[in-house]
Amino acid sequence: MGDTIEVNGLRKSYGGRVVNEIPRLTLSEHRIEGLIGPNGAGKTTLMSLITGRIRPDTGSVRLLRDGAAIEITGMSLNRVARLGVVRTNQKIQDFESLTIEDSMLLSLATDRDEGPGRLFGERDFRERCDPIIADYVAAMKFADRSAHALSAGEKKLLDIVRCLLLEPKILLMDEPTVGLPTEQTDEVMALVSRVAERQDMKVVIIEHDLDLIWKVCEHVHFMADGQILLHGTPEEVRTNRLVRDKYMGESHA
Amino acid sequence: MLELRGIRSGYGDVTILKDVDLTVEAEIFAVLGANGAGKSTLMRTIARLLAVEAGDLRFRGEDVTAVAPNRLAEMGISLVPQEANIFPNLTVRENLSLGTMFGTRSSRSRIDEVFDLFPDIAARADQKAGSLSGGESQMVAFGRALAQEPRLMLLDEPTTGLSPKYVNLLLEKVRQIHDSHGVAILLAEQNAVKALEVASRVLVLSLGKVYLDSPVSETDLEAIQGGYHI
Amino acid sequence: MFDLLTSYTLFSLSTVMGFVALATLLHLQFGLAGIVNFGVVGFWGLGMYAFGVLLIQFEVPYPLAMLLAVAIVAAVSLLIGWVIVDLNDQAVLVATLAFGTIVTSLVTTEKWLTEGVVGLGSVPYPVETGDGALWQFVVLTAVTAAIVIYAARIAKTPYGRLLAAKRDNEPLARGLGKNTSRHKLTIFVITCALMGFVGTLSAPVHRFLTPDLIGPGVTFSAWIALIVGGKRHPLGGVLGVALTIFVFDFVIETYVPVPSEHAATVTVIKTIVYGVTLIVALMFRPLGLLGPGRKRGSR
Repeated sequence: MGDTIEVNGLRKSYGGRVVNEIPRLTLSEHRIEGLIGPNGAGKTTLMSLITGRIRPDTGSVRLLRDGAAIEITGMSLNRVARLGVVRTNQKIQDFESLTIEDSMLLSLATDRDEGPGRLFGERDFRERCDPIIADYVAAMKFADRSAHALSAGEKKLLDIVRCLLLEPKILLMDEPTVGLPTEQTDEVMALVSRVAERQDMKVVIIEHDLDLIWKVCEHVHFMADGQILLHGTPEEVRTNRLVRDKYMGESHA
Repeated sequence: MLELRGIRSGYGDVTILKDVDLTVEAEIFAVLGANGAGKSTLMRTIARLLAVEAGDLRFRGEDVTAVAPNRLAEMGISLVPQEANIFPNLTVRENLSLGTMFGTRSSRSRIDEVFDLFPDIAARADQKAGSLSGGESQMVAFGRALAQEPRLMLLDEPTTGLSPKYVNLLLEKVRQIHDSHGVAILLAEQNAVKALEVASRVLVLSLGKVYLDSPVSETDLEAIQGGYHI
Repeated sequence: MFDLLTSYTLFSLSTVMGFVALATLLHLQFGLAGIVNFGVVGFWGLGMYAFGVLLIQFEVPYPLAMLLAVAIVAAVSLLIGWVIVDLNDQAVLVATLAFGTIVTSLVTTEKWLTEGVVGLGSVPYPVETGDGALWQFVVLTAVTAAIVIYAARIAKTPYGRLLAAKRDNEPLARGLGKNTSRHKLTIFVITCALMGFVGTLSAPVHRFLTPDLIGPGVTFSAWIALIVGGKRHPLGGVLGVALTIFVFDFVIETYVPVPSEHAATVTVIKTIVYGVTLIVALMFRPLGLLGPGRKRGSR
């Protein structure tokens, strides 16, 4: 069954403008879900509210796990991540001074590995991580793991890999295709699907590349003006008139 | 309009572009290529945000290899970078007005044109640009470049984060300013199919070199994809 | 002892060694973890004075006085760290700079405790035999070496990567589940306490503790040394101190015969040369002599 996220009476506004107003929403009931909607609909804000990056004005976010409900409203970003709810970033982000390998080692290090007194054991730690890193380096076709990620695409891939290495229970992906060529997007999504299957991970994708949404998602939420207006199968959402008018414009009709 | 001869550039010790020759007339040039092929580096080199290590850069007959980037903007080159392309602490209107420093028509009318094109950001005219969503920021960045009344636009993945409706709108606008004002456009895109719908010429970069440079009408998709597989 | 190690050379070398320790600790704070500590002298001076006051005014036994002094610095840095942990760089800079100034002022004004400008004296060496100064220098050198080795090692462990990640992009690190606030606080308290420890070791070197020992110049010297040497490199502090403080406070003062009427000029020249060196370093090697020549850009 896996984890789900339940949102109740969530509201967030910036300077008088309501950017999120969601009375009730359950996310990740399905393995891979899509979250689509026009620019400025509040999709990224919703993900920020869920991961604890920002706090809601009112309302709650709960993580349902094994029949228990964990209140994650107001929890810090790092605690939510440790609970297994992790987000890949829309804007391209990187650690400037870390190489591709360092970045992956950072993700793989647990609280027990990190401490001012832990001067030894680096070799064991690297040996333990090496096969995992080698797998991802091959899957993502990084040319040189001891180099820095240079292009926007490499940074994007690395961002996704860092998140996957945390073995999250729920992975929120904010526009994963940005900066990636179409072929590579397909490879990444195939990899994410495999990981999802293998590690019992749920995925929620924000994306404007609708072909991708229709192809990989089992369930799609449509959002506009801060509200969730519609849920359904990709087919139901795609053929809905509201979605066409508000979002797709004529050429997709 | 724009001529590159034997251009080499990169970052510090890392050379990305190796000996690139390119001539751009008043046309829409799709710039394609795999990750790290050098698309962004090409854009940033032309805008002189990166030092030219070797080669010549000429714009409208003038040697601009060592000209400062602000002077290039004045000469009519506008760039929409891929990352960090807005001023987050300025309002949307202020961001756009930065694009109207040069040129002939009034600042106000040019800003209004942008707002007509993207009503979503018109509604947020007096908000800090940093509070906008990813797609809205992209509209502001493109709008600012448009307001510059450029002769050459360098668009580095301008449709990033835009909803399908706006992707079409933006590309339509690109075609329109080219048709009506003869503006030359370099359009880097991940989505090759979309880019080729508006482009008349295509450039495929591979490992920092020109892999293919030909009119779209004479190019098949397979030839382009060759550049991605090196 | 042989001529090289006169009491004056030992004094100079011990002072220089103290700066190597401070600059390397600053490397851990700023170069590695990105904490802009402009109150180096506060932590060092507090350790020095707390130790002196406990030892002389309260007659606390020597080792216990050292231990208590370090504990006091740790407690104070925990308090400061807790205040500044989630502030931005400018606020951290101002807060720590203010702290350094407060320590200097209190030492000057609280005469009942510190004897003010008259000076607190005299702080003896732990072993009052003839070689006390030499032993103190040996101990300072050993402690400094340990700090440098620690700095070199920690950078290549998960903890070092975590601190570098925090410095580069803190929200991104938090998004990966890293409790950056806690780690920032930990490294800050440890390194500040060590600055205090170095202070307790410096106290007998100076023997008479006066407020002018703990002016802002100490902070700036440590910063300039680190920036010139290379803030990101564990040996940056060592090299930086060797090129700046060592040259002026040891080589020139000891071996260059300066007529006494020009002695004051040397100090002025020192300040000018420090300033020029810093500007040149920032212009041509922003990451210092041990850093890469140019900052690597992103595409």
